[in-house]
Amino acid sequence: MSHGLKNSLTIVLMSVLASLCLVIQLTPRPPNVEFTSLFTFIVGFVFGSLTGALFGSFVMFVNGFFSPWGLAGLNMPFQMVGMGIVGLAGGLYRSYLRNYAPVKFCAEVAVSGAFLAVLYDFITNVGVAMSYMLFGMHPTLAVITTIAYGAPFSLIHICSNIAVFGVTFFPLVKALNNIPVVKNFG
Amino acid sequence: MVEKRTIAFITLATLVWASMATGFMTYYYLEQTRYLDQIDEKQQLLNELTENYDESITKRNLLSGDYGASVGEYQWFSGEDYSSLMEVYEKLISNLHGNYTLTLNKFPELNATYNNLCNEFQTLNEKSTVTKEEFGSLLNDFYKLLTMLAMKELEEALGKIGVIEVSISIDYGNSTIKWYNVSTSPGTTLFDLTRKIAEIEYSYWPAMEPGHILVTSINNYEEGYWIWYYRDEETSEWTFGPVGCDACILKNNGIYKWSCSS
Repeated sequence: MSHGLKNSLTIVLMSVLASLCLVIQLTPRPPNVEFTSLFTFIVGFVFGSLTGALFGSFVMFVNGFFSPWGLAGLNMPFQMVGMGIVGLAGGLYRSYLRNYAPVKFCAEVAVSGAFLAVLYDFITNVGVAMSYMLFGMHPTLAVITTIAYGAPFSLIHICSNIAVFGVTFFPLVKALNNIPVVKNFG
Repeated sequence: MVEKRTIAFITLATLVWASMATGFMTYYYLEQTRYLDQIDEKQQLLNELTENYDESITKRNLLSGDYGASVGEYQWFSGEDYSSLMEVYEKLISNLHGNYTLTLNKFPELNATYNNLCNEFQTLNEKSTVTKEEFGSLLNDFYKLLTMLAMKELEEALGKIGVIEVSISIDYGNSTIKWYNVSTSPGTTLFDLTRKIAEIEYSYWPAMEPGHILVTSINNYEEGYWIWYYRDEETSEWTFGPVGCDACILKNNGIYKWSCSS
């Protein structure tokens, strides 16, 4: 396959995945149950950390304007950084993956999903705290309050990420391996 | 021997658990603090209510005592001309004003009743003789006003500890209907609420009871008669307001309507 065609196919695949993420983001669903981090992690895992980080940031950038929860505003950069880290983690995880046994692999990915949910929620909560700070709240109190009141939502995010990463990551990566442009995995 | 990799993932899982546990602990701590603050606030309100209640009851009992003494004098009076008792009555209404100045200033319909009573008193005072019936009627009016003022004061105190939701519409009779969903304190009358949501003009009718107020214009619209209705919960139909709007105490989740008919 020529280099140009391979690049075009990569862009098409990324666009399809980005659209899929946005459609899911815009679909009515329980709060904090999302698939964007899974797709971002997969893109990072398959195409490398930089591509994953850019993909995650791009999706959150677009989502910031169309989200059913309203315009992201001041929180948008924090969402972009948070999702960028998820993409970065996908690439890093692949580079540290030596051999895999499906069960262990699924467990590791589920734990990664949970940890990334905690990290993402922490970063975005800091973003929300920033807006409180702008209204004059003390920084420490603002961060503690947002993290504390975000805890029930974080729990939903973590549980859903454990399920989504643990169950769907492995079959999805296997499916992606059937696409010629995707580097063969494992 | 456990792999380093496994330890790393166990550490990550522990971090997730620790951050969630800390988050939830802080959440519950903040919630508990909030609830305690709310309970304190409510307790303070209850204490305030008890104090106001005691004060109000003491005031009412004293004035009732004075009234009782006047009724006693009236009943045991043997002459034909009751004008000698007018001095006692003047003291009564003066005490009433002194004790309920705030309530009288706040509620114009009660102030109008008070002024009306003062005018009746002045008219009788200027007469050379006062009959038993005339003085008896003055005493009755005084007691009605005292009861209304005492009730209003208690309702005011009670109103601080709760909120009721009311829907009210103003039908101008020219296809313009405006709805208002209002949160207000218990004890509010339809007249009080209407004054809050609209600019009104009204007339005071001393002979009309219960309630002495007739609304003549709402938001400067006076092309007919303003009549109030309430939505009957059982029949779900608009029912004609049976009393003056100042005597209609609003119900929680009640639906009311002002309608202008020419």
